[in-house]
Parts: sequence; C-alpha cells; structure tokens
Amino acid sequence: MRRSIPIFAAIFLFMASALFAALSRPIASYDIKARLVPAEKKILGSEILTWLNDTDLPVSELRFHLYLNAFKNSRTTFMRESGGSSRGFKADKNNWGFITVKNIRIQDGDDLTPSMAFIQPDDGNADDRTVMKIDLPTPLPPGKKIAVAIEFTSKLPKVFARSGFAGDFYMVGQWFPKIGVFQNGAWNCHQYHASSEFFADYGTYHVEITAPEKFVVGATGKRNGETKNADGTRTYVHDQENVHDFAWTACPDFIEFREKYALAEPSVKTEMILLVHRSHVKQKDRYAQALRNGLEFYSRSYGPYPYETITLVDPAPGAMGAGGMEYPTLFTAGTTTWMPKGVRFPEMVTIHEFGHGYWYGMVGSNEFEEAWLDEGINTYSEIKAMAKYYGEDRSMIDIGGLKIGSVAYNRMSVIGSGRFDPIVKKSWEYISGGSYSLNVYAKAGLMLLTLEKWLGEEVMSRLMRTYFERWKFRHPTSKDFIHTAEEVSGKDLGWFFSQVLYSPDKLDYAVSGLKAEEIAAGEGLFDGRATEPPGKEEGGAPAKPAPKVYRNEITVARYGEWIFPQEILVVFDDGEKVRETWDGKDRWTRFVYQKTAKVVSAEVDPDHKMVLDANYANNSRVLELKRPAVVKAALGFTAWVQGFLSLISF
Amino acid sequence: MNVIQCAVKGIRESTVRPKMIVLLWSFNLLVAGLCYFVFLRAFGGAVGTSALVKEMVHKADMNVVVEFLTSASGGAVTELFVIVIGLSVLYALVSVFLYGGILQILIQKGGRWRFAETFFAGGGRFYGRFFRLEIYSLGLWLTAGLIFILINALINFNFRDSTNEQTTFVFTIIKILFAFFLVFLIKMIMDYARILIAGRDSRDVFRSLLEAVRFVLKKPAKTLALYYLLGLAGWASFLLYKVLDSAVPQTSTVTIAIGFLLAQVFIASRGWLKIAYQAAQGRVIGLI
Repeated sequence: MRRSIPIFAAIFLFMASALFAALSRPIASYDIKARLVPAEKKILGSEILTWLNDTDLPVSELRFHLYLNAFKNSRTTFMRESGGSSRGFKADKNNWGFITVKNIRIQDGDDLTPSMAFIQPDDGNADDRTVMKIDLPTPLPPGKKIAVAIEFTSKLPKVFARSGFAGDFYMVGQWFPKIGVFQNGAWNCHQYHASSEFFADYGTYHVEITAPEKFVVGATGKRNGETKNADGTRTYVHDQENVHDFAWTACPDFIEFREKYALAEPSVKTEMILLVHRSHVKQKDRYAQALRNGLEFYSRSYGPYPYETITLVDPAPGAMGAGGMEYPTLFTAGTTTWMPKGVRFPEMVTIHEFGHGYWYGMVGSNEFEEAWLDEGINTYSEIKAMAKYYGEDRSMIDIGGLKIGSVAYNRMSVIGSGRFDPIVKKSWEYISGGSYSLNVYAKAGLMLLTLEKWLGEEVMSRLMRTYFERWKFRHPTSKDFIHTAEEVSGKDLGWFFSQVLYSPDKLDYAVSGLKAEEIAAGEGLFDGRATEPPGKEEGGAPAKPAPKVYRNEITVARYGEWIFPQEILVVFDDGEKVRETWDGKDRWTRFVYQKTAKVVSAEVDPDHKMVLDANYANNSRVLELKRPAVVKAALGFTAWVQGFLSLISF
Repeated sequence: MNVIQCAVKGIRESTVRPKMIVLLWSFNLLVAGLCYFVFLRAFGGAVGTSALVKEMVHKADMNVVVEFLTSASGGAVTELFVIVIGLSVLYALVSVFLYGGILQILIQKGGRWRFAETFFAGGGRFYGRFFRLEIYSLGLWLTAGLIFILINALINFNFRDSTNEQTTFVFTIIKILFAFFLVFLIKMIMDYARILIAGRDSRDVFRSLLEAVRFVLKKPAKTLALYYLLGLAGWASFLLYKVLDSAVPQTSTVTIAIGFLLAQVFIASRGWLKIAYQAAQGRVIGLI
C-alpha cells in the first residue's frame, strides 16, 4: 500500500495539472511568429495552425477569416455597411489596413496557395476579401488533425474599429489568418461586418512577438520568455491554453504595473497587468480598483477566473477607436486625461470588457449570429457589478448632484428608440448599427434584469452559474440559454423568451384611469316605491348621517404588445393596501371597490420587476395631481428660459 | 476717465434707474412666461399624475426627467423646443427695441420728462436703425466665423496625429475661449455702434458701425478692459444667486416661490448689468 501512495500521488498530480489544460477541447491551435515593423506599420508573420476535425464529417476545404482586409478599401462589406466610420471614429483614407497571405501549405507537404480564393458567404460582395477558402488535396477525415503553415503580412490601419496604430501605439487585434468554425456540417465563417464581432474555436496559442526594444509589449496569455536580439529588438514569448483568439499591443509610452490578485472563496490566483499610457497614469488606481472589482464580482457570481494573467490596455490618446474591446486574457479600456471621478466611464469599460472574459472568452457564443449572448449577458453582469461597487442610483454618473445609475442609463437608449428589430438576429441584419447596439447590449441586459426580478435573485444566480458551468469553453446558442433557464427555474419560460428575444415590440402597462366617486343616495323608483328622502328616520327624528361610500375605479391598460402577468397595488386613504393580480392578456381590465375609503393611488408592477417597461411614468397614478412638484419643475424651466433669453441678448 | 471710473459711473447710473431695471425684467418675464404654461401642461400631462413625481418636490430626479423626455409624446417635447426657439427670436427683436429705450433714457439731458414716454419713444425711434445695424453686423459675424474656421483648421492640422492629450485639451480650451472672445468683441462693437447712433441721432448706421470698429481697434485695451470688468460684475451676481438658491430648500409652496423670486432677482440683475454696460461704454466714447 505504502509503495502505491507515491504512484497515486503522481497520477493525482498529473491529473490536476492536466485539469486546466482539459478545460476545452483544442480544435484550433496556433504557433505564430510576428515581427512589428513600425516604419511600415506592418507585422511580418508566419503561423502553423493545427486544426482538428472534431465533427463526424470529412472536410474538403478550409475557411479563414482575414479580418484586416475589411479596412482595405471603401468597397469592403465593413466599409459599405459602416460608411467608413465605427464607434464615432472615421477611417483614415491615407492609412488602409489589409492582410496578405504570401503562401499557405500543409506543413511539410502540399502547397495550397494556388487554391486560395476569396469568398463572400454573407452578401456576395466581390470586393470583400475577409474570408478566404482553400481546397485540401484530400478530405480530412473526422477526428484527424491537419497542420497548415501560413506566411502573411498584416498592414495595420490608423486605429479604426478596434485595431491599428496611432503614433507609436499599436493595438494588434484580428491580425492573423484565423480559421472559421466547422459545425453542423458546414463552415461558420462570416465576413467582417460593421456591426459584428467574432467567433472561433478554442485552442492553444504559442506566439513569439518581436518588436523594437523601446516598446512595452503586452499580449494574451502568460509571458514565458523574453530575449534581446542583436538588431535592437526584443522577442517576447506568450503561451495560453483554452482561448480562441490572440491579441497584443505595443507602445513605448506604456507604463506597466503588475499586481498579484488572490481571492479565497472561490479560489482565484492571477496577475493583473496594467499597461497604462503615460498621459493617463494618474488614473491607474481607478483602473486597478475596477479590475479588482470585476475579478471579485465575476468569480463569485459565475465561477473562478481561471487564467494566470489578465492584462488591461489603456489606449493612447487619439486611439480611442481601439478602446473598449475584449480579447482572451487581455482587454482595452479607455479614458481621457481629465476624467472626473464621478464620471465612471473608465470603471464601466474596465468591468464590462473584463466581463467579456467570461461571456465571449470562456462561454464562446457566436457573436456574429447571436451577439446578445455575450453583449447582453455581459451588460446585465456589468449593471449588477457597477451597482454593487458604485451604488445603484449613481453607478454611471455621480457629479455635482447629478446621479445616473446603470439601469437608467441603459433604459434611456431602449425606451426612446424605434422598435425595428428583435434581440436575436444576425448582427449585420439589423436596420442600423444603433439598432444592433441597443438590442444586443441595453435591451438584452434589461431583459435579463427583468427575468431576474421575475424569477428572484437566488434562482437567477443559480441559472447564470449553471449556464456558465455547463457552457464554458463551448459554443452555446440562445436555445441553450433558454433551456438552462427553464431547467433551473423549473418554469416554462417560452412565453417570456418568445416575446423578449424574438419580437421587436414593447412592454408597457399603465394605470390608465383612477377615480373615486361618492355614491349618492338613490333617487327614483325602487321596487315600485319612491325613495324616502334621506336624513329622516321613522317618527321624523333626524337620522345619524351615514358614512360616505365611494365607488373606486382603477383601470389598468396594456399599451405594448408584450404580455406579462401583472400585480397592481391599490392604496386607500384609510391606509388600506390591496394587491391585485391580472394575467395582462386583454388590452385593459378594471378593478372596482365600493368602500367608505377613497382610493389614493394605484400602481402596476409595484415591485418594479418590469425593467423593460417602456414608460415608468404611467405605471402609477395618484388621485390628485402632485401640483407642487409640477409647478416647481415648470417654474424651474421658466427661470432657465429667462436666463437663456437674457444671455442671448446681453 | 479711466476704465474703473467709467465702470463705476456706469454701475451707478444703472443702479439709480430701478424703473428701467423693472421694465427690462418685465419684458423678460412676459416673453418667457409663456413657457411656464406650456411646460406645465406638457409635464403635468406626461408625468403629473404619476407617483414618480412625488419625490421631485424634495430633489431633482434625473430619472423622472428621462421618463418625461421619452414618455411625453414626441409632440410635447418638440412643441417646447419650438416655443423656446420662437421666443428666442421674439426676444431678440424685443431687445432691439429695449436698447433704443435704454439709450434714449441715458442720453436724456435735464428738464422734465416722463420715464415711460421717453423709454418707449426711444425704443420706437431707434428701432429701424438698430435693426439695420443687426443686419449689417452679419458682416462682422461672417468675418469672425471665417477667422475662427481658419484658426481651428490650423490647430487641427498641427495636432492631427498628436497623442499628447494634454496639449490637445489645452488647445481645445483655447479655441473655445477664442470663440467667446470673438463673440464678445462683436457684441461690444455693436454696443458702441448703437451708442454712436443714439448719441448723435445719426441715421448713417453703416458709418456708425465702421466708426465703432475703428474706435475699438484704436482703444482695444480700454474697451476690452471695461467690457470684461463689467462682465465680472455679471459673474459675481450669478455666483451670489447660485449660493442663495442652493441655501433655500425648495420643498414647499412657500420655499418654491422664494426660489423663483430669487431667480427673478437674478434676471433683474441681468437688466441692471445691461444698462451699466451702455452707460459705462457711453462714457468711454464720450456720448453719455
């Protein structure tokens, strides 16, 4: 027995060490060498891709994303859809970006370069070269691997739509030939669209980056080597398992901060690496605290952060087009030199982009086709995290008495918008970039908050943890989320999701009428007798005045198309409170009470579960107009106009 | 007379004319007052019977404002916006009249005269001339606009690839200050042109404008110093108003009324400043 203990221990240690590596099944693994040539804004690269056919079908062709070709000219699909601007920044027409594949061959085998062809599976735009296809000499059987060697050159654009250079700052994302996802018997390899992000299989990355010595370099994964070269450059070696992308950055003006982060419950040990531009160094502590908050919140809410590093990149001034973007174990944040403390943009971006390490990084949903699964779930998570650490009613803005919380901030974009698209749609099929954003971010985030309030925080918490645990390092779809939600809650939620995910309509319930009328003594004929005049008893003695009775009417209406069961709280002037329920299906319903008390107010959704409700103002109604408040607002507005008039005619 | 003496004289002349201050304030209130009723109807209709506004009497709630902006039918907000724009145009036209009244009073020599008669007579007398002056001033605005565009383009060109956020920020501030400087400069030239027209009872409006430009260019230090010195008085009254306003917790009908009264005092102080500007600048140019 004793002799067997070390053997078991060795087996146990081997299994433990293999545990992390086995988090995902490596389908697409890359061994890349990249050299930054600052003078030309280029990266000279070579990669060996090892791809596993993890399906039951033989594969006769490979498809690759060549994302940088989206910035090659004004006729690409990205440029046509975006009109040459993205996230408020315009493409620089003197600095196009592109990627050239010099040759591609099976490692130690056939040259596949002649079979290279550009295809446009989404829109047939012949000017778009963001998807490349190559034919294999013989189909790759199921369960077999192929290693492909590719030489390429990437020319970076002036920072635009996440990637590029600005002065000496380089954000190198979507920069290498990247294989698509083969699933359900076909390639899922979409063109690069203005309103879409990415989708890829998990694998292991080993990347050697060479850059001039003056640059501070950061990248996905852990740094496992650094060598000084004779030509004045340095080579940095980064390795990372269980990821589906690799990005890096370089800038001589970065100041690097490293901090060990540890959490006891659940157990998390990682290293925070902050690459903060010299101009923003005073805000390093804001970034660091927000990142700590993110690590704690996501680890405790969904599951422990499993990677050894997390790198925050602060884009240089003039490079905000590269800000607010996620990559595995690395993300870009964003700030400006004078960012007031009460404007929590850096904190929000840091928490949001870190959160994508979970919803995109670890739970690898398809951002092209169902962007809400990462953006919406992450917005929901971000709202909760921001509320927890910065205050529910002031998590976004808290400056000079002006307070705006994340929920209000997100509601602003949702309730004031047109309703053209549902949440679930292919990213490039929304009527506009704005519609894409408001649906997959704000509306989806608020939808999940509504669900949370509907199911209860504890059930929602279990739901999210289960979804994360079950689908991490895999590719879930909306149906998988719905299935998990129904399973965990034990409820049929089809009615909920079929409305909020697949219909562009709105949720709006209102108290449309409220009145209390005194019931006068009857007049006329009753049972063939005229009524007695009130106030007299037999014998002519004055009667004791009967208490007044009121007919209280509360009308509740459904103005939107979405149907939700409702609760209604009715308050009477004697302090009595009555809660009613309504299935919410008809266009309206009415509650009538004959009482000696008068109704004071009525409110649908008194517990504020319907975060998606398009109009909070009409959810409640009071019997009497709140005149002082309204007059105060009107007087304030008048004084403002007076000031304005005196200003323009001073 | 030096700048400070001119400023003091101007302020004194303004202070001793409470009737004129009240009149200017009345015009302002009369024009802006329409907004009260429109806003009351729009806001009251959209959120007035909602329990949401209950707390608004105690504190400003941005969420209610957002709900109002988004839930009030688009028409109500658009109506408000159109009304504010319309009133601004109306008030600009009224101001042309008011300038005539102010200057008529200020240039009035001794003897018996009635305030209202003189003020309104002046407003009517100079209205056509001052209105033409506003039209001629478009040339100044155009020139200033071109200068600003040129400077802006020059700065943007030099900083097109800048990654130095501090410098870019400083130059943005400089651009904004420069834009304000141009606006104030033209307003000041217009003041002198009006004083020249009224002081000399001149009908040659264009010539008066050119003379005002020449005068300002000839005495830039004195004219600008006086203009910004009186501007400080405006800022001082604004800060005082903000301090007093924040000291009154507007949570009851009475305190809301006090808050509104304070706002009216501030608006009256704007009228007081307007008179002070005309009186002080009239002394600099020697016509008042």
